[in-house]
Amino acid sequence: MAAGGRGGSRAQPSPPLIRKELCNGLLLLLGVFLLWESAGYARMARAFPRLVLLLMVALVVLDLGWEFYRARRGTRGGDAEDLLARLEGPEGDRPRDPAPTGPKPPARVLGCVALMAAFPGCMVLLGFLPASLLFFPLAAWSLGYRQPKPLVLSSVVVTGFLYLVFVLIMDSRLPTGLLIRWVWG
Amino acid sequence: MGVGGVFDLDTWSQAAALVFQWGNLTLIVGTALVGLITGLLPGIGPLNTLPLFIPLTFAMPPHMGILVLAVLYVSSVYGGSISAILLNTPGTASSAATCFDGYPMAQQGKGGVAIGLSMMSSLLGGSIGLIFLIFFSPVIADVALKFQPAEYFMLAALGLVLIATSARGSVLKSLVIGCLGFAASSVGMDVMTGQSRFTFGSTYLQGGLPFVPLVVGLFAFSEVLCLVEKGQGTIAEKGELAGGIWEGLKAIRSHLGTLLRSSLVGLGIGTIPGEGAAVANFTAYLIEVRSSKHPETFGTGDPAGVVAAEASNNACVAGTLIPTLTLGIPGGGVAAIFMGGLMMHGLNPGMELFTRNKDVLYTLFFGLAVGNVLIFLCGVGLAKVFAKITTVPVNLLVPGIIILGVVSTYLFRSNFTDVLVAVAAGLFGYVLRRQGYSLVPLLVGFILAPIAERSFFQALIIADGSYLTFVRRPISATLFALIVLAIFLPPLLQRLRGRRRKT
Repeated sequence: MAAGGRGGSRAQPSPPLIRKELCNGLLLLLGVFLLWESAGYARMARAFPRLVLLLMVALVVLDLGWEFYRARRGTRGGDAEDLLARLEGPEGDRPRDPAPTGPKPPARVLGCVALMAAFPGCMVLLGFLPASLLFFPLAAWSLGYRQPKPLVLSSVVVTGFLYLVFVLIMDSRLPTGLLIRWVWG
Repeated sequence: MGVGGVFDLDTWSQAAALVFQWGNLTLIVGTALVGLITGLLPGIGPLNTLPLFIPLTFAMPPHMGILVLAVLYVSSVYGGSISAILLNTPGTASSAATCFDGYPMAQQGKGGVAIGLSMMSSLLGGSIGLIFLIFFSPVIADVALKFQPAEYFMLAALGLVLIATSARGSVLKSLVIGCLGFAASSVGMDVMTGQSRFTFGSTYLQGGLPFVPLVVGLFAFSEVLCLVEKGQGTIAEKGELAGGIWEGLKAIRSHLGTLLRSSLVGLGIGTIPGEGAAVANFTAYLIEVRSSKHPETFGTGDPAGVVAAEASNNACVAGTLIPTLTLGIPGGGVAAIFMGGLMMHGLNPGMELFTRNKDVLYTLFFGLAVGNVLIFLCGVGLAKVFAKITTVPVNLLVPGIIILGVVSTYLFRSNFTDVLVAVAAGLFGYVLRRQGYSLVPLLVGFILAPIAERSFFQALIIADGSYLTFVRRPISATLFALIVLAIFLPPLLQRLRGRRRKT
């Protein structure tokens, strides 16, 4: 049975244990903090959340201990056997896309988060239509899309379609924009 | 209500009258197209699309709102097979096994045949699952009447454990994140005591963490961040489809046994709360390989491979809806989001849905039956167009998804703080995914926590504070035993298998 070239995975160097278990550490701190926070609540109100938080802290400690033990023994992660995770990886005989130009992944991700946070602000100031018409091409351009004509066309088509669905068909009320209202009254 | 309630012709005819209105049929077709497109784009899928559509359904009556979410769920699963066959990249995890024989068929110039087969298998498999959903869910809802609070608490815990143990990655991490979901649900004012929990003086958090922004952020926005991180150009170089789809539709006649077997496998796996859809298509495929007289043909373009994978994943969808609608225990991640949508419309799963809201339920059943056919027709008719969509660059998709996500979240309560919560949840979800956590247990924990907490205290009150009530009653003791087995049996079996291999 052909595996579609998805059976193999290239060996990747394992990140340091501290970086790998960063989330576990943060969850442990969060759990302990919330347990402390809930100490002053009424007995019935705190019982269930505390039970769950104690269980979470215990599981995190167990997981950290297990990962530390495995790191010391030098054994490979059990997660590596997950067939579905491998299927979603970039491995296989499908030719890879060339490496994207532009900022490195962390900068791209943080840039995208900034875009997601900025768009609501634009909507408040300019209203849905102008904000979307401005945001779409700016966002696509910053993510590396460089063809102006399809970009403008896509912006108009997508924004127009969403306006049709939300405002005209569903009669939803989207922001009209503070600046627009201030200028036109 | 029992099985007899299924033959209530008055309610069925009301459902039919509602579904066959032109406006509603157009809505179903529109949703089917959206679902097919989102399903065929790898990384988008129903898990990330359904949250975006929940706020949109608030403008509709509950009958149609719930039906739209269900049609979106089903059509995404149909859509996943198109990219699996054409690109060797499943659009959704539930179509992964379709790649094994679908892609070789496309390479042999029979992509159209494979698409035709997959569409027909999906239609028939989904219909078989729907028949079981219609006839068996009232029976299960009847049985659930015997459940007392102790059983509901154990059922909620079992649901979470099953989802956590079947989610991708480490079981321990999934249980941790499930507990975090439970804890997140306790933010806000406690209904029993009036105590504000974990609000830190914020009036926004008094009402608790809002479901829609949380789910949009955790799934849709975190997926956007993952796509941006990968920086992939396009999903396909060129979207082309060769070979006759009609030939594929007719070819199903030679694989009826495979169709029936795989549908039942998918239905059975879907009924057990867990990440069923992804597992169902592999299990059904492997069963066909093992039971075939010519197993060597699988993986080289054997049509039976496509039939097995696609029939099982669509039957699985109906399977996941059985525990979701009858017991309030989501059958999987997408079913959990669907259940959240159901509750957002003021509908509670369980006996109440089968008695007081029977009209909504029957509209859902009837609508899904009609929807299945419409999705099939759209899929077959527009497969060549959908093939072209795979050439849309990812950096054009991302801004569209962001705009849709922001607007959907804003429409929930016309509150921009919700949007910021969604963005924060997106970043949190992205970090969790990068660190190897599955997000589905978090969502399931969040949804099940109120049921679990309420049942926990009710059980203790009934039992005068005795914790033994959770293991003394036969049903709750059985559920407790299942929880223990679900946690400890898989690693035990894995160890035994490892030892056997060594010897």
